[in-house]
Amino acid sequence: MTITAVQPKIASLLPIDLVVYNQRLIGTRLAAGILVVMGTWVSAQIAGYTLPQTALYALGAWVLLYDAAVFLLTRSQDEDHPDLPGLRRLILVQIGLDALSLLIFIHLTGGIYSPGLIFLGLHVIMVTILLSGIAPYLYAVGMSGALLTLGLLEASGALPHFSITPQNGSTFEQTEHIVIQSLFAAVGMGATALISASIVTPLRTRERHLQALYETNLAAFASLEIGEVLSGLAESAVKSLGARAVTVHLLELDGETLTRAAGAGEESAGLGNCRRSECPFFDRALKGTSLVLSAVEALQVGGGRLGRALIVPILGQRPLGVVSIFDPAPTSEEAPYSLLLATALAAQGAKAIEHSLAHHALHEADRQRTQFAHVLTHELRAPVTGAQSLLRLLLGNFVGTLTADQQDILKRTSRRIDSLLILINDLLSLSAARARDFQQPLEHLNILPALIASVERVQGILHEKRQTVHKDYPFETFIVSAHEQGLGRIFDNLIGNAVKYTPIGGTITVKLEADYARAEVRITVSDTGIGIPPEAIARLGEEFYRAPNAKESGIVGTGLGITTVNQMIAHFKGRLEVESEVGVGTTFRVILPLVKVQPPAVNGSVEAGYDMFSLIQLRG
Amino acid sequence: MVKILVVDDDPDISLATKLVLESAGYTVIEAHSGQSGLEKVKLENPDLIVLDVMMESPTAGFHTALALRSPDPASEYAPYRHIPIITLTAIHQTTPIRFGPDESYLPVDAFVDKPIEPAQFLKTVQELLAKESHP
Repeated sequence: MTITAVQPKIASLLPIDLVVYNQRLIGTRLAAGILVVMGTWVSAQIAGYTLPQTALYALGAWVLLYDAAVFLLTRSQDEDHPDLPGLRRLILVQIGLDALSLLIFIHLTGGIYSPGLIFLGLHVIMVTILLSGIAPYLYAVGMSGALLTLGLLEASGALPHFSITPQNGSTFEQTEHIVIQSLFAAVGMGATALISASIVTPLRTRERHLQALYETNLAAFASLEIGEVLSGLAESAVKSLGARAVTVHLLELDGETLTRAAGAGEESAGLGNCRRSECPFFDRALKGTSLVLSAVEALQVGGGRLGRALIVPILGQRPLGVVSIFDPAPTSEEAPYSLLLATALAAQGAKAIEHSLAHHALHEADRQRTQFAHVLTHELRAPVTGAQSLLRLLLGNFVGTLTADQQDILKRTSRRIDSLLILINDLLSLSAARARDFQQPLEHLNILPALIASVERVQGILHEKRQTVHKDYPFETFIVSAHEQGLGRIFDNLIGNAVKYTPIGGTITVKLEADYARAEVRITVSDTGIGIPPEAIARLGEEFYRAPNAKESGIVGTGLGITTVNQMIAHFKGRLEVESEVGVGTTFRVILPLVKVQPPAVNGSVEAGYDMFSLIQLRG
Repeated sequence: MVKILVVDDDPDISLATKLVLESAGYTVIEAHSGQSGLEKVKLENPDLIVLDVMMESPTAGFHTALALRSPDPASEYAPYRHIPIITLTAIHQTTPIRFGPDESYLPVDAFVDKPIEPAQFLKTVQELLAKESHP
């Protein structure tokens, strides 16, 4: 009966506590078992006590035996994920077995005159630590009753009495002594429980508060969604303060409207959306004071039924809102801490809310910037394409014949307009990349076709510049998590750059391989081009940055290509590596996580290939 | 006499297109929005349509093409469904969406990039007209 009554208490222990207590019980019991055996030997052999040696040795062995069993049971558990309900039951069983063993020990060492009575106090302390509340007192009463019964049974001869010293044998017959001795034990144990509890209970409360703060902290930083953050805050407040309900109201930017943003516990409690001027308690809290409302006052903030309420402001750089806590646990020793804890929770909430708001502001700013760039580039393109179309009419002699000088001037003009168009197109593709590519879902796809297509797209220029391209593709099929457009953008840029910055007759190498140990795919694009100075490599990711030698070369470029490539690779959870020597060449290496490898087909039969190797799964 | 409808809201592109086509002996009719383009189709029954994409709305040209190629037999444009359409656009080269004439959801016959390259543009026009007259 006692055990079922105390179960909720042990259930409220933290998992880590359970594990530690369990280990401590095992250790203490090991010492107790050894001491019983050694003590028996020393008392009997050296001090010459008359002891039931065999029974005591058996008791010591029994204690060590079940201790070993508990040890083995605990060890078979997964350390990181202990079976908590099982552990709780195990601890309760241990308490029962220990109580029984202690009673047998007392019986064997002189009954109510046993020097072992002192251990009852130790047991009570242990029980107080493990099972708070009324359990230690019930334990004290139960053990005193058992002691009294034991004494009476021994006195009546129903149980043998072991007199371990000649002195206490003489006073044994008096029943009053048995009762008084039992009463002393009861009072001693009760007082021990009381004193232990006065230390343990506040510690346990503080522990729970710390846990609540920790949980709020986790909730606050686990998400940037303001709704989740506030729900986490409300729930940990309900749990840690033992409250009936907790609501969170956020103050809108107008400084007047309060929106109910989250709640936990009883749903009907607390106010809905309201105005600051209509709720004086919220107004006072928003000015920076934490309030403790009486039961009558609490009705004004939606208490619903009689009970105290705490109103705590959430203060960031401006007042962000209020937390209302209804019926916090009334335990007197917790009262001074309730308000402190509520304030601490609100402070953490404030941090999280500000993070969340800042994140959303950044996100929105980036979206607007992308949108703006998109519209701007389209607006920029229209006049330039118009002008270029008209120039081509002139150059194509569609409106009369031009002189050689006029032709030359118009050709130069047309070339400059082409450069301008390339710049605008790059800007457009960067903003388009942001707008579209980053929202497009990733899929598992073969990386090779995108690479082949990108090499294919530069064939014309390669031919014009009489450059050679070495292609080194594997037989296996590498599957990565990406999308075709993004891969195309990455390879187009890297291969296009290689071709662009490599002089006539140069060599480009494109290689695809895998590093199975790291589960990575590597795509290497090397050239024998002008190279990148070391100081410029670090700045390649910057928008519009171009290496000084690239600018001097007169080759048209915008300094946006590598920026796009970098962002796209990061989106695919990969990375970009660069090695370069000025005047010798550059190597770009794209490294992406390898999802899966499909082996090459054997004897031209795809089915045979799959049958022989089956799919090698590298990552979930 | 071959009649070509040019639908484009940019007067310079319109002029460039028109002059190139006229130099090759085609008759050119102009419209400056997707809506007026549709009206001109019914009025003039052209042999070919050159269509801009971004006009009164960023996708006005697509909507015009979709209306003209509507598979609905009761569509008011059903008699004009066969007219070849060339889409004049910059989107083709600047965005990763590679929709070509082979893709069914945008029912046009060819894409021509802006700025217009006269020789290439004329070649596309001649090919489409030849296909239309000898299907």
